[in-house]
Amino acid sequence: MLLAEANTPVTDWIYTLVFMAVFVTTLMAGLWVVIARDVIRAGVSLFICLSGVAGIYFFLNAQFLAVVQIMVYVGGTTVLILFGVMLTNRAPVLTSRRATDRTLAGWLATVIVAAPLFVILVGRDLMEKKDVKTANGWFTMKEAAAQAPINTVALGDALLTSYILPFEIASLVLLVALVGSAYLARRREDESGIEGRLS
Amino acid sequence: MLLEAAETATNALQGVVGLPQESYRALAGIIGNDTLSYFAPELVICVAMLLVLLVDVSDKLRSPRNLMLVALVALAAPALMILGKWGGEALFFYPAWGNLAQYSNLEGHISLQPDSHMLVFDGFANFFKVFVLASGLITLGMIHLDKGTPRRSLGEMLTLLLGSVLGMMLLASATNLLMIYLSIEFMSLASFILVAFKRRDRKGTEGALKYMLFGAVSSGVMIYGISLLYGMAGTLDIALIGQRLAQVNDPLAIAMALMMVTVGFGYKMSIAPMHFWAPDAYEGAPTPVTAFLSVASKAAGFAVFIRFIDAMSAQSTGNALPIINWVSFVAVIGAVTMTVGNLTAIWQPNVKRMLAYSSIAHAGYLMIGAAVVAAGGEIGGEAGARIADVGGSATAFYLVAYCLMNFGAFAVVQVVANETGRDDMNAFDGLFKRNPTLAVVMAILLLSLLGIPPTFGFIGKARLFMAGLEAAQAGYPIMTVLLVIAAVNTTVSCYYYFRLIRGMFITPGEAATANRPLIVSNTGWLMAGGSAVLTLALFVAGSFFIGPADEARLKRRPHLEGAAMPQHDQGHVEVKRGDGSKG
Amino acid sequence: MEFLSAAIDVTNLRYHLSVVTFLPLVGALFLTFIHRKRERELKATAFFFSLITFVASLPILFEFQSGGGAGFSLVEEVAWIPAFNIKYIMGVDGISVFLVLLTTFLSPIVMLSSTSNVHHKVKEYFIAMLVLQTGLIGSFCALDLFLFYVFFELMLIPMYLLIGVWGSDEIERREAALKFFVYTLVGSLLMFLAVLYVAHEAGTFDIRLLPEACRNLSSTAQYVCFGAFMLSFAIKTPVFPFHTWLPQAHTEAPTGGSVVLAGVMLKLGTYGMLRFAIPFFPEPAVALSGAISVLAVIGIIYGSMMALAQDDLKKMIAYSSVAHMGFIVLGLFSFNLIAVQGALLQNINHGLSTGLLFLLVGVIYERRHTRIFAEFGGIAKVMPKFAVLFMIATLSSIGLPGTNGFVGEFLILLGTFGGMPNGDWTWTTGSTLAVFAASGVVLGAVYMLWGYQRVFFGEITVKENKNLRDVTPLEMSFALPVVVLIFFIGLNPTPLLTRTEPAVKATIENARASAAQRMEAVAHK
Repeated sequence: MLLAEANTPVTDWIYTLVFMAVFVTTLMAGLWVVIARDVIRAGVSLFICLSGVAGIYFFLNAQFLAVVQIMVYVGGTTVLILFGVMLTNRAPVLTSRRATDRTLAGWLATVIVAAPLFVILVGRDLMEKKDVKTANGWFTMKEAAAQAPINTVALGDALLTSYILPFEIASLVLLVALVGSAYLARRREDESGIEGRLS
Repeated sequence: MLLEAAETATNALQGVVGLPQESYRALAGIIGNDTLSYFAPELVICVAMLLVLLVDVSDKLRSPRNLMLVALVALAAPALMILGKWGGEALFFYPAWGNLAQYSNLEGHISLQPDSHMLVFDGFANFFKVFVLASGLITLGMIHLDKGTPRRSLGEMLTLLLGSVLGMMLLASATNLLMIYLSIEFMSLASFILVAFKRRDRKGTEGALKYMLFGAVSSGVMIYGISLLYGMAGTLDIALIGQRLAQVNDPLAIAMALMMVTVGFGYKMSIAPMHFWAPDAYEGAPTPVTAFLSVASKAAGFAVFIRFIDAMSAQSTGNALPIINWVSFVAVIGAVTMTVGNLTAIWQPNVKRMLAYSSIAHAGYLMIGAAVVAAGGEIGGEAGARIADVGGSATAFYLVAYCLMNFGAFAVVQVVANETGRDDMNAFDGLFKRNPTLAVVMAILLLSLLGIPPTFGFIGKARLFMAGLEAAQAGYPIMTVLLVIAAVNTTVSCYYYFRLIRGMFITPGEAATANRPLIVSNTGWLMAGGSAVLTLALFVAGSFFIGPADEARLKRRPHLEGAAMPQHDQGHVEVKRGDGSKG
Repeated sequence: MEFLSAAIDVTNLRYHLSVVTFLPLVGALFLTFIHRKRERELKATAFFFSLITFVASLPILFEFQSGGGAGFSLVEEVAWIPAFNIKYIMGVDGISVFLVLLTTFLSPIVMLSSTSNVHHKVKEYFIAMLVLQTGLIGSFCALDLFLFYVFFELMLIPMYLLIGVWGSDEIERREAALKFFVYTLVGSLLMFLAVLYVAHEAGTFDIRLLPEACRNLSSTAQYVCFGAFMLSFAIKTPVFPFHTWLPQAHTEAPTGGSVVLAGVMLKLGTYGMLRFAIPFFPEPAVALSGAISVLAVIGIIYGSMMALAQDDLKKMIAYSSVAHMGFIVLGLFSFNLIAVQGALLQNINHGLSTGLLFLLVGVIYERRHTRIFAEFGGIAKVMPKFAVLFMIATLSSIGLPGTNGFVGEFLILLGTFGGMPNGDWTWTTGSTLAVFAASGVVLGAVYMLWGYQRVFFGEITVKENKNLRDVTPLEMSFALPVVVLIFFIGLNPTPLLTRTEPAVKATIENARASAAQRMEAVAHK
């Protein structure tokens, strides 16, 4: 409830400023991941981008999720990717070729998808200056922050009650992933002979 | 009669395996939730997955035969269990486990709705579960037939197959977007690895990579759509979402959200334009996997798609989704899919690729059924529900036919590939001379895929067209257009099916092998010949599967109390936490 | 013999038509168990089964006679797919009975002719032929629209294979086979949609109930469905401009295939028009009869002109089929009892005369392996018996008095000339069409006789023709029955006409009455 309680005009202003900073950083880093030609740089940008997302989670008052984000994505996935890039390539700097022939199609697809989303999510608030929350059920960010009682206890409750089934199924998904990756990564010598017919 | 037999078999089986229904109930009673007994078939598969892994690591037990046996039981037993309860009461799986649920029921919190459910066990789900299990069983036969599958890796393959089946079963009964997303990921993850199962094969790896990249993108888009839906409706339960969307006055947002979620389903159904992965993945994968993906995976996709559109279009008639008219939307993507599939299939030099595009075209035909469901949902009320059920059961019926003929066709491809090591069109040249029966079998299956008499595929298509007419009658002229496009497409498809038939019967084979008879194993005859015979027999006994397909009815929940939009006042919300003593 | 009489006994019982329909299929199953090397046995079995089918079908004529009237005889009814009210209903009336008999009559002849001119994949050839026969008989007997469609499509595959596998030219035949298949499928799939629509609206697939039930359809629906049905049948018949598949298919098909195609299969188109398109949708049928008749006349003249220009004997006969079928369509859409009767008769006649022509072309092709006019000349000198047979077929095709062709064409022209008594078809339009159609008769005489002259008269210019063997007893044995029938119908068509009259009369009058009623209702609005 830390950020949500700050309700004075000044804190409100600071709140918005910091949020915008995190927001812009995340966006720029995300863009850089896509357009960077140097894989290492792209990886570092991904690191920044994912951290930014964690920051946004903080602003949404989802502290637990933010921590998970940092641990899993920032700490785990990104580092893993960087390790992978460094270990698998002899060349000191790996550059990716840019597919120039698809640029136009790419931009077109981006605009087609992004424009309606922009109108849906941002346009209304910015342009109409209207309180939309009751009209269509959107939460404004502050509202969500004010309202959400999420903390680890509640999260734990939810995971072990209402969401027990997905929670358990997720473990099976992980099992399948484990079996699969073990199979794919296994040494290849075992495929040389076909042992025994079936039945 | 079939059902009675199945019930008898189930009871016998339950006696043997030692899983009498009462014991579930007793167990469920202990846990405090008797809906768990409905989950028993899935639990059997969960256990079997682990069992396969255990057998695989045990030096004593490890043998292809044992592994196959475990998988066989793991697939047959749940199917019989479900068949035994076929037509029974539909229940919702909501783990409100005794006091715990009361304890944690946080009022005022949007994510925990008292009417929110994870799974639903209705006739529709049951049908698709049995369908997926049967497909799994046939796939077992195909694996048995396939000489290319590395036997040492059989354990992994079966585990992944069972995992995929489990994911599909969950998908068939999922009624919560979280559950749907998770199930799709479940089955996809297993499928990716199955496609790449021939690890040294470049094509397989390429196909799997494309499959996975497409999967990642489409599930990303889908989860974005889900988040939009959640933002608007404040729940993940699709029935509730459907009812609440009626109160949301933001057509653009609804349209975007629904389309994005559809992308995720479309990927599984291989609907254009989300079909690009299919030909590569189908070509590169081992043939049993290809057959399994093209039938079961598609069926599961359709199961969830139909459930989704039924929920989304139900009761939202009032201000109905003005931008996105579901019926037109589904009809248009159906028409595009069948046209793209058929036109592209004509040029394929490889039989597996050809069948892949043909399966895309079939997804387009199946969209007729989905469009009927959408029409029924929009009409609403009793009449609408009836039409939606007609659409659902027509889809289910066609899928049965499609399952038979597609598996059969892939089995023939497998048999020929076993012998010649090839699966291009030319491998089939002069097949009639080398093995007349096999050529006739393949011709029957191809004619069934084409959908002309005297084959089961024809009855299936007739059923689908009748359902389409029903919707056209109810005031959706676009359905007539869709049906005409489907009819024209059928004609287009005869070009590529007949290319193969011509190759088998008319073109002389390559000189070196032209006169060498092609040997077919018993399993090969069982798989290919069996499906061809069934294709013919089920044409004569045309009404055999109509009953079961009609049982595939969606259970619709009445207008829910929680359907009203949660009122969230700005500022203060009292968070009440109950404790164990309460309620 | 005991088996035969037993079979006939069975056929006198409830399932007579089913026995006739499925006997060839049983034969086909039988053939699958005979080793492919034993060609003699294969041929004998196939012939035997087609012959007993013919014998078994004869009682239909007598049974039908005793039944009489406009209704259906020998009706069988069994539920097939109850959920959609699809039934297995078989039955014959005056419109279909002779077509069934024509099929069963031509089949043994085709089998017999095939024994000498099929040399590879003998087993499969006869299996395809027998399956084809089941499809043909079934389509004429089916009284359930769904069932009809099933039989209608069932014929496609064997015919495709007959053209594609046993056709004459290595490359051309594949194209011809696929073209035949695709053309027919395009039409029939759209018809299938219309079938489902009509049945959905009417709540039944029963052909006996549908004319009544279709009255409730809106005008638009009637026009659309009529279009779909007519497209399918027009392709099958074929009506100009949907005929382009036919010359190629005819030319490439083996002799037996050509005979069945021209003799029976094309009749399904005209049969379908009279059985389905006209009684179900009388309003568009009457309203569009002018346009369709004009197409038919164009077909007559165009077909004749094209026949005149051919240098291939078989292609000439193929184009003559386009012209003759045009006559039949013209007769059907004049909505005049005489003309429709003539059209129905001409159906049979064309089956006999063109069937015989194709058989005889097969005979000469067997000897010379060519059908180009330039390769012949003076054949009459070396093959006198053959020349006589061919002359009879030619004259029958032209429509010389005394042969069957005359009766049919005369009735059609007579009926058309009179025009529709109470329709919007004036005497002038009828007579104009009839005059143009009659010019087709003249053209027919020109190309047929010219063709005959080029083949049979003159000096023998090609060396190979000098030692040609005349007609063998086997060939005589399959040509003679057709010749006999040609003269029988030519001299005494009454037995046929009296049997077809009640059904035709009922169909035409109902259609006309209902069309007039509907048009009046529209006018009143």
